[in-house]
Amino acid sequence: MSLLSDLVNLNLSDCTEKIIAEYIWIGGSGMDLRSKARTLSGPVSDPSKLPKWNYDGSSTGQAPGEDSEVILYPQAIFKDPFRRGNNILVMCDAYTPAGEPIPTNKRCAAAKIFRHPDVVAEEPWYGIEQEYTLLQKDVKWPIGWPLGGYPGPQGPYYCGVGVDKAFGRDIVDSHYKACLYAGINISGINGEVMPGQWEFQVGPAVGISAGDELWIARYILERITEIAGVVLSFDPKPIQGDWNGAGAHTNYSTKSMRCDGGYEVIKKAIQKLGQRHKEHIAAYGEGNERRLTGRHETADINTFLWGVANRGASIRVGRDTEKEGKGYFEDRRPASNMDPYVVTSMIAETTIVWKP
Amino acid sequence: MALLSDLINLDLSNTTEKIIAEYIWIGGSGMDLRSKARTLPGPVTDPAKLPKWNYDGSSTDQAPGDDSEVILYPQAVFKDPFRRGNNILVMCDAYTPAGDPIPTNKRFNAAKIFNHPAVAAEEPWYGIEQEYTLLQKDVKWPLGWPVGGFPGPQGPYYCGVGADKSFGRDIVDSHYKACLYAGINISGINGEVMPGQWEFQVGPSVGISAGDQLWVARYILERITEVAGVVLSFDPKPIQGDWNGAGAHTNYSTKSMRNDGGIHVIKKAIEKLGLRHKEHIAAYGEGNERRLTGRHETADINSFSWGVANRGASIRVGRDTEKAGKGYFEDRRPASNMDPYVVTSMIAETTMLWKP
Repeated sequence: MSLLSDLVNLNLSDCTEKIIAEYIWIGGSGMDLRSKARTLSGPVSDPSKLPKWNYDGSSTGQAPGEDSEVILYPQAIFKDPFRRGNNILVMCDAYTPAGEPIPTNKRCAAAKIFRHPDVVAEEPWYGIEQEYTLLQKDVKWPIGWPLGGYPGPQGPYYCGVGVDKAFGRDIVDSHYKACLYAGINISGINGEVMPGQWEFQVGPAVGISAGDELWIARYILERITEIAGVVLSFDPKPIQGDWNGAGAHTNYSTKSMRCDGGYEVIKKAIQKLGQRHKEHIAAYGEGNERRLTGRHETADINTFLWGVANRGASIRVGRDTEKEGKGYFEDRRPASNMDPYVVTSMIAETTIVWKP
Repeated sequence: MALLSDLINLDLSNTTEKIIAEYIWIGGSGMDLRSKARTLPGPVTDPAKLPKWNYDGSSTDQAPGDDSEVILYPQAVFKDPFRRGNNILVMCDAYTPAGDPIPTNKRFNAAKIFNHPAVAAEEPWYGIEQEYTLLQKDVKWPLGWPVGGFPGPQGPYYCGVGADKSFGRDIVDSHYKACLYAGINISGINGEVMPGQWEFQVGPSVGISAGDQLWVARYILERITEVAGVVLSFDPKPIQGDWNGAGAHTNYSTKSMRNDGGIHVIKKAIEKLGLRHKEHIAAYGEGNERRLTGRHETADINSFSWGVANRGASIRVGRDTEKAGKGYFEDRRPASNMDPYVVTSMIAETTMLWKP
């Protein structure tokens, strides 16, 4: 079907100034990504210059049928790796016609926290390690796994290579380049411990952009798996038994933590997180209790503990940070289906703004 | 088959001035598109400079065998996205050798209405939202649906992304670019509520060009689905049961509606449409009674209602228009298989020429 790819790959800049903008938003479940496209009269790189738009909220569980318009506010622009040229992806959040964020809009509250002067002054950096599982379409069983059965036990798959150890690398590698093309700060990828499971990392990103970039990276991944005919899962424990779950470990630092003496700031921050463990866990993703068992490189969901180089802890501090007396730490609690707007802003709020 | 695509993609401008013109017309059912091609000695952009042509009307149910010639009058020229170079698509309408429009020629009357001074003065703009369903070849069951069964219920598919939510995006995306290339004013696309169903929008277009552009966009879509091996359906209710139908919502405004105080002109226009509800419904597409049930974001076929942001009404006025006091409104009644020449001209006629 090369004629179809000829058409999809048409470079329109030769015949028109017009561009296509794909507006992306989060639907009623808080995890379902939605998008639709519109033609604009010329190239745009500043989100504030893009028109607001609207969609049918009654079709996404976000508005009633007789008052169905939900308004989209453009917040961040990325280059479109699928349409290329001057075409763009636009990350949006959702508001009522009266200008109020709708209940599923978590970005609005996060942006408020990131505008707090104390938070701004600390320039919070985030590096999010997004894990995910690829499933065979129709049967929803992980790719590479035999139907009606299981692969050999975990061991050979982490960062593995070979047709019997790595399943779906074409998806992962095209995602990596597509994200770099789009302007996302993707810092790496690796095959995970469970076969058919992978991870990519986004960061370091400052404040609200961590959430924007992760959501767009998720969108690009789902578009790529759509092309590949494979189903993308962010379930935190896709397979019961002796198989790893999927998380979204969130690495974090503030200016003070990155400066000399930062290790003390880190320890204080971790203490505060420990005092709000239950609140954080409640916001760290649905179904996390199936994953945070204390086994498979997790800490039990009811326990808060931290340690240097300890993958069985809630929070891990790297040996580098300990040695240099400054750096960052890793919150290992968030599940793969967490909302990065919620998690990043909550970590900032608890460690910088909240007083015990 | 690389040799075949090499040949199809030959750029003839290096070897000859000649161009290929694909003449397109509507056949005897009023919905079947037909086309054939001819060589012309050099590039042409003005339809008035193209030769009239003719075809075998006895093979399209538009003429008897013993007097079968139907004459094609070129009306609009677009760039050919399939042959590219200087090659063109030509939208035509059909006449008897004596020069009378044949009965299935709806463009002729529409053009008369749009040429009426009172209508021309008001510069009627149209934005048509064409919905359609993609069907698996041979079984005629929607694309992505399990043969012999049904997908999960509606919810995840509207603007959805992912291999289990979005079926046929390559067709939709290549159609978008192909139409932009051709010079059609395509303003956007989105995945629809029923899986395998999509929508594209053409507009704003003035007067008769709305119909020309929509018909050529439909032609390009059917050529693309032909390449993709998928069947295109404009049936307004392709699947019975709890599955949305397919419409061709027609957005409309006149100069007076777009100016200050336009909201009053809009309300008067809607009133007039309400007085001719039955006449409009009769012209808004065959089989629409299976679609306009009052459920699935439609108003019942026997009731006329209008409302702001109300997707269950016959006519919907957007919140933007209400707030600005001017703008446009959306007639949600036309079915996906409507004839845009008929619908656009009838709306203009009822709202501007008809006196109750």
